[in-house]
Amino acid sequence: MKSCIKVTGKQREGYIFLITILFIGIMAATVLSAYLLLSITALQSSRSVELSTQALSNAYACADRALQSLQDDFTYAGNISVSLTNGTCKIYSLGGVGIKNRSVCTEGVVENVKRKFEIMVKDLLPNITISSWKEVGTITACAL
Amino acid sequence: MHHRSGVLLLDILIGIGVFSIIVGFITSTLLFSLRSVTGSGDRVRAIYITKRGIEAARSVRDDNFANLVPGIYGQRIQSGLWTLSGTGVTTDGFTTQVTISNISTDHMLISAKTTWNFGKTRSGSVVVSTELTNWRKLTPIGNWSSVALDGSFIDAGTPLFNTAVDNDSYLFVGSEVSDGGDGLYVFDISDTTNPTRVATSFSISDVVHDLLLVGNYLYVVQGNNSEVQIYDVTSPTTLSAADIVETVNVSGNSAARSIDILGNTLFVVTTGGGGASEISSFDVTDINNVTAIDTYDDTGEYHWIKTVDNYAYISSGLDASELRIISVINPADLKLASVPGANLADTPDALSIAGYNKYVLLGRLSGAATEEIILYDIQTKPLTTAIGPWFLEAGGTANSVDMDPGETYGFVASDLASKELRVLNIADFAAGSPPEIAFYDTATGEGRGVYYSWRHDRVFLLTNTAVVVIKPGS
Repeated sequence: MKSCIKVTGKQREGYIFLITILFIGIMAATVLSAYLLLSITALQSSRSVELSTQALSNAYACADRALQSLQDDFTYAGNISVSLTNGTCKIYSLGGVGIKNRSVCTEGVVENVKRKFEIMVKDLLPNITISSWKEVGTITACAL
Repeated sequence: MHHRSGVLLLDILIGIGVFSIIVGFITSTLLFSLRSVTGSGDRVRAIYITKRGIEAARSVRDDNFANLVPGIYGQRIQSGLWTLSGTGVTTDGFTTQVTISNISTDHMLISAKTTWNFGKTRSGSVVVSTELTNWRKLTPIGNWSSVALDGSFIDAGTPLFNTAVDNDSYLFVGSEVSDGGDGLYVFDISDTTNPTRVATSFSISDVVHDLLLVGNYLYVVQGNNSEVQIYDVTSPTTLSAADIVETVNVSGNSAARSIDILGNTLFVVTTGGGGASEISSFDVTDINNVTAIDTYDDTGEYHWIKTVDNYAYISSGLDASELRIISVINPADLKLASVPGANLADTPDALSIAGYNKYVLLGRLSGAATEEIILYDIQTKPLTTAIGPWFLEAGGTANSVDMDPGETYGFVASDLASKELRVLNIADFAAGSPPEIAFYDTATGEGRGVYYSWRHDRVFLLTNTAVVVIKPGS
């Protein structure tokens, strides 16, 4: 006597429903993963903007220190690192000699973010006159 | 046939369970993402608002550093200008406060903080800080329309002081050695009313004609075959021959008289004696290994040099060109400038020269029918020929001249018995008006050298026996 098991139509519909739900779940998971990545990227971007803004302010701080020191003493050589409230900055070795045509280069650092300035000073007397002040990716106007 | 009942219901129940989990996951993830993106946007906006606070403080400093008063403020625009007032400012729910605190004289810490609170899950703060200094201020110089004695060092002998340079605390003075002088002297001038000699055991066996101080290195022009010696003067009170880091041998024998530096190039002028070239250039990038670059051979004596921009202005003994101008644009190709100089009436040599930007001041040997002090306009480099020069009778030899870097005043050391130091107003001189505004009479000998210190706003008058410190004002 043969025994036979017959799969009814309702059983097939149950499997189809389950598989459909799983398929929808996989699609949803894929879309949500993308959302998650985007939100993480947004968080990272805002953090980068914050660090970059502070690094720029640190570069400005060192620039002000260097120009003040140069005005006080025309033989000021630079080449120092400074610890600030948030991060650090560096004054590179100043270029040029005397009271005309000097170069001042600074770098502001916060965590792994760096921003740099090259400042060309035209005259030191009777007061400092700047001929150019620009942000650069690589310092070339001052000795490293 | 065996029938299994309830299988479809089980599948559905499992499916609903899985779907519920998925919906829960979707909901929480969506909420998290939404909060993150919104929070990031709030933070970025807050950062840019905070930057404005920093920029406002910088703008206030640029206008007048004195307006940076310690306290907590908000940044506002009034009449098109940034101002700091109140205790904070709120824009679309973001509140910014700028805190100013004093670090030291002319040095402020600026901290800008922005806070926001749009609900339980949407609040935060951002802080950006920087420092501002008063580097835009004018370098102060006194009123030299009257002068007074500040202090002096009078030697027991007759050193015949020639030249001087200084840093914040020390004055280096060169002298003759023919009458007992030590060649090189070091004075502590931290108190200019009482210049005190240090390193008293140190002496050089030859006359020192000129000095140049660059950082911690003192360039000494001597009257021997080691024409220029470079000393490390990190410790001036213990200066000795052991501090010599390099010696520069110039062509000829003992002919070097004056030096100046432009960038990393040292220029040495000579009297041309012994076959020396009148001007030579040297690379001093490596202070321990100075290398020769080029020379230029002229037909007369060079006495003093001052470099301005790409030119060397030289006081010379050339009868047809007492002011000599050499182009030093390329230190490897020294040559006469497009305007090679200027001729003065008669033949007395030009001995000294000073200048910074718009003018050069020339000092000359005394002549019966000539003026000894001449001002040239060099605003059109190398020499403005359309206007000037202007002349002043010194009544004696103008041994040495100097100017303040702002070219407001000129200072002349002469052998005129009643006016060893003369103070000139350069603007008056260039306007053709009588320039002398003050003088100083000393009993310590003739005025052999003069050096204006911008660090101390003092004139150091060098005489036969003394270093006399002169200050502005009565």
